[in-house]
Amino acid sequence: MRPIKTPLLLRTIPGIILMFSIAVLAKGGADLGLPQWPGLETHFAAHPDLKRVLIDNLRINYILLSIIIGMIIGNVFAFPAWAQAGVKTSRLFIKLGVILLGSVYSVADIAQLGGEAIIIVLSFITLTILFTLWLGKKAGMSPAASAVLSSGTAICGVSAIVATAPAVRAKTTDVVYSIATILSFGLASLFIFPVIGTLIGMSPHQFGVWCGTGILNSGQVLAACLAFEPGTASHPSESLKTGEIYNLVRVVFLPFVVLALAVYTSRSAQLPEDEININTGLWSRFPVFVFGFLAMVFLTSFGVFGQTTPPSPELILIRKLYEWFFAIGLAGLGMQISFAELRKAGGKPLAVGTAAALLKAVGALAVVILFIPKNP
Amino acid sequence: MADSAFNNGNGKDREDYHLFTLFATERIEDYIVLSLALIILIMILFFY
Repeated sequence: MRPIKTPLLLRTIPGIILMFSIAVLAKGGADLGLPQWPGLETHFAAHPDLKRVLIDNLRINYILLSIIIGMIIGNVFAFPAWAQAGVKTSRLFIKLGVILLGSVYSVADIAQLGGEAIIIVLSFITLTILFTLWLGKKAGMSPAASAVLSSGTAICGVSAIVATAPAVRAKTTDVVYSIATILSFGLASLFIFPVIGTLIGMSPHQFGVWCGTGILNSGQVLAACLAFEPGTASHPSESLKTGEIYNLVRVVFLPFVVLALAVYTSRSAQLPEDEININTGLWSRFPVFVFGFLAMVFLTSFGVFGQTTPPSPELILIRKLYEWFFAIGLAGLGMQISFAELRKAGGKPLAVGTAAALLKAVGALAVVILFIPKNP
Repeated sequence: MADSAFNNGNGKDREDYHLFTLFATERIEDYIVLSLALIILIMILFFY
């Protein structure tokens, strides 16, 4: 007798409940009608010493707490098998949050922030790719390995690596090394960026520009921005508002970068045309969830969800929802950060990737300090 | 090219990718996200 296979939807429920529980533990239950549990962040804030060290200096808030608790469950305890399917929906929650985040922008915001973001992001994508390809060549990496690593450092981490790998026919080891390198750097950035931003007195807008340009992974951009300035439903996080625009601009350039790297690899490797997969249709790689974000901006701007200042009850609810979706998704992201996987980072990709990522982070910091005003 | 990524859609890299998502492609994930967002917004507009 064949065992009955549980439907995928049902298999995701335990993991989603686990991520949700972590989010409630960190964020508190006030929004859910459970004011008895104010959340770990509020507990820390109640103790002057803990508040000074964890909240004021290290910028630990419910977002970072969700990630840290997720990492502890995923690494210190055995990762529960029953939760795996649900935890894999974490990126779905993050994308859902990004779409709803569109409710904090107006069309004018997008035009203003987006114009500036296109110039800065495009410059950094070009420079990072050229630098990584050059350094990879100097270090003796294959064109395909350099191409995969350069897309990871220039665009948006894991998604970019996964999208570029088939186009340049990268080897398995190239992909594994590149993903581990990008995630290691992203994990460090997540905790270091907010501390540096605080130490040098960046404004939330400046911090958003720095994160959206300098951090490699989309989820980690969100987390760092929310760690720097969590915001509330009535006063959304300015750093998140700026950082996410920069991040989305970067993500939108992904298909073009994949195409460019496929052409570069085919020429560098000097392989016959049929050996190289330049079947990289721009549309097939376009991140269509960005249309949802843009639709949300238009709907909010045209008053479909009521007035924006002060925000209508509908907008307050939407903003509370995206806060929860981010907390749930980032708890799952924390659970998927495996130290065993990160230890796979090594060799030339680690050295070249770290050099490129550091250069990008420091370069973006210099641009922010020199050219970006405190307020948009 | 035996170990090149995604050659036949079931290589190790596809397994790596599946560490991060449930769905066969990122496009499917995006369509599900868009559908869920639409449902949430319709519910909010309906109940308010």
